[in-house]
Amino acid sequence: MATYTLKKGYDLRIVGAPESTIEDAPSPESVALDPRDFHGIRPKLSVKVGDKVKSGSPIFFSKDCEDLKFTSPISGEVVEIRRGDRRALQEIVVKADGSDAHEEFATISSDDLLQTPRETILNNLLKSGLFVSFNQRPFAIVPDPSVAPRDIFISAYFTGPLSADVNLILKGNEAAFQAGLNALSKLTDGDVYLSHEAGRSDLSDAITKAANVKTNTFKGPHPAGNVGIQIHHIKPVKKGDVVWTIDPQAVINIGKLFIEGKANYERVVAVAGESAPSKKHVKTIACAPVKTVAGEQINEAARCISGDVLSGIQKSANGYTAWNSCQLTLIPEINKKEFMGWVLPNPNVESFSRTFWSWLSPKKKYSHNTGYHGGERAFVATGEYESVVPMDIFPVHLIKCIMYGDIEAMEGLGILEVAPEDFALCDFICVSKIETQTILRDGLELYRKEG
Amino acid sequence: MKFLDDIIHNKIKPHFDKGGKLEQFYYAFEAGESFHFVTDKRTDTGAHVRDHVDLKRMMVTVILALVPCFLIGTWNVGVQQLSAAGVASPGLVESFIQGLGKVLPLMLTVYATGGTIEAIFACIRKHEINEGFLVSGFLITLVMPPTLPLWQAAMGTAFGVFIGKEVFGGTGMNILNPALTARAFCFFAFAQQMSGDKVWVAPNENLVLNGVQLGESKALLMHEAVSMATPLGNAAKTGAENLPSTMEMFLGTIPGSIGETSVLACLIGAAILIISGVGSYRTMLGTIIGGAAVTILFNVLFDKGTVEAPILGVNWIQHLFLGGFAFGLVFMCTDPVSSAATNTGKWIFGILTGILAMTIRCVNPAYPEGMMLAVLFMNVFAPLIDHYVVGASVKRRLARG
Repeated sequence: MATYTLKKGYDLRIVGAPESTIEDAPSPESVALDPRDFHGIRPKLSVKVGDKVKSGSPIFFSKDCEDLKFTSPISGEVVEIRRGDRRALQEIVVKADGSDAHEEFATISSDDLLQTPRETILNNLLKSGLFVSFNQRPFAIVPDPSVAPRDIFISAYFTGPLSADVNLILKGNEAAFQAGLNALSKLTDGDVYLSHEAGRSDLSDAITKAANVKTNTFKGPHPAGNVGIQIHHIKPVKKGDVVWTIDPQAVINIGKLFIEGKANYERVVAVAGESAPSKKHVKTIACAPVKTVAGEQINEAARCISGDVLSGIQKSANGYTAWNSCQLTLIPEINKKEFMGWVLPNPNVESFSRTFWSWLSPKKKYSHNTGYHGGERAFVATGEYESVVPMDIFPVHLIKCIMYGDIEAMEGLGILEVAPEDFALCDFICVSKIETQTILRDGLELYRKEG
Repeated sequence: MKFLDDIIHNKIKPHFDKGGKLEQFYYAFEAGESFHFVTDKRTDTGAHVRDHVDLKRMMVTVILALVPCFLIGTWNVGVQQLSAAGVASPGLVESFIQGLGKVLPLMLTVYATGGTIEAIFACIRKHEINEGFLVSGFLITLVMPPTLPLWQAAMGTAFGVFIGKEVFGGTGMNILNPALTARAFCFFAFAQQMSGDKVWVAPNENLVLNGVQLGESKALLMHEAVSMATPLGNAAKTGAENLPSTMEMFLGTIPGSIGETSVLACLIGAAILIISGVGSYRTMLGTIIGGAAVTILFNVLFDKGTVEAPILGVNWIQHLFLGGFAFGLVFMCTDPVSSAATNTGKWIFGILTGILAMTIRCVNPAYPEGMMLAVLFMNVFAPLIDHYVVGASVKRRLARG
């Protein structure tokens, strides 16, 4: 076990942290899977409107790899298939029928998992659709199941703004979490790495007593908890390497799949942000409606983000949460132009730079809306990106060589090690308002196709 | 606010929108609008919340850091002028107003010339007007001598903005520091008014000297009468003997370019830049280290008698206070666009600039001011420095094997 203390990074001082309470959300009347929440797949439907599906039945799969199935988290009927431009699949809505009909899976006890062949575990994960909870580095995409990963990494240290408390996710699920870890250890010839916060005394036993994993601890401002940052420090991804990452909630779900013989799609979601009617943790189902999770009385004008404010996915108030998300953040939309905002000392707005007087009160929390607060410009400031990316990587240079499409240079500068979420703070602090996450995603796609 | 909002967005804006009769000037309008109101554009990709800082804010911070140099510099222009005209102890306000009479026309000329070029390019290129010029214009004014004829200032500014910035693609793409490019142009094109080591004190034909109003016929004479060598020019000729006191150099009551004379003002500016994070302390410290190292070396050689040029014997601390060194290291070296971009690169950039500036100043027989040429020279090498710093990271990645 090693402890890594990271200095670079920044903790957003945003209002609306979720309280450490947990309650059950009402069972959702419908759920919707959105293929756009996943990267690196081309969806093809396996159902049509009117079809009855059980919990665990496939809804769509990937054209490039038919084993990659995306399954319904509830039993019910497919009521709507929404398409966008050029008939691109957007949302497949399943209306709940209230029954507990589900697909059957093999029951394997936690200890027996360690003796179970890799094939059996992998096939169960693929069939249940839980496999798509994995994310692959490089490229931050749904992994190809036919390639065994070098290692698997899990971060149980959530540093994102207003993030969930990992203890609440693990509470009562200690055995399932360990069973999940046992299953993961069979999927790789390498190791399963579990990282958690250094020096946290009340951490769940599920983590402190976790077996069959290598444990490391991290301490530092966001993004110290990002799994990509942790991989960079523990055992970096080199050219030709493939590693998988997964979050603790999905590990629990995988554990329950084998213990209960039934696919489990539960989620503990932190409801946070200034516009959230009550800030708390709720237990719900993957892909549940925003209103079921956050409450019916939410302000429809608020920005609903499945995930955190830095790299979450925007959803409408009448939409559905994303598959993997453990957080739902609601913040106000910007609705007015700020008069002379660029010149007034303004102590009431947060800034990473110390050009506003707010830097004199480092403890204060600030309200944030969805404004850019400035126009897009060419790269001017230097050294700022570096101070929020705790890796041996030069973010500005990497972003620039993506902009001019030099694949060889991208590789040299470390594009294989990063995911857009690792650069999310660059989006936030950028004085030139450059979309670093979007550019990075484009670069990853370009490299994947042509590299 | 509501009133202004209404006028700008409902009365004026339609003319500039697509189809309006002033359509091609939209970006000029946009500059005016965004000057008053920060955009309410919503995030749609990437992070949902953004920092309140933008390029305007950053540039305004630099201008704030330049204000002490402007105030003390302007006051000093007046002080030099009045004392050269025989006024024994000119008052604070009197001197400042006297200085303003020289500095303000120069500043207006610079902003008008540069701003027009900037706006034309923005309209042609169809991008927003970059606020970088707010800083460049301020800098250009402060690095010029108060005696510079306005037409020369306009020529220099046009060259600086055009060749220094626009031909490369505008703010953020330039290789050279536009303000120093402007100064370099004037330095070589109008050597008589710029690089001569004498014409630093602004003459004023309306001054009353010994009770006699000096008319235009005597302006020329006056010009000659009040021209004064800069301390740096003196140092080059006679070494440490004729230098003003260190305190005078620190406060800035010496002849020189408008903004460069006061080390105190530069220090205040440096503090603002470093605290706000807009200017890099690495570059500044690096430059001081490089400059001090070279001058200390020269001091030692001079003391031993190895070298004899009088300027080499000037104490190294006084060297740091002299000429444009302090101003250059705080405001020119730290230009984020034309300086090195990596943190290691900033140290290297700073140290080399310091070494080069002092070497040019002390060893070059032609002109004693080395900071401008050193910074411009290092601007050209900044991408190379970064190339090797970034290349080292690439090598580390490969070496992980």
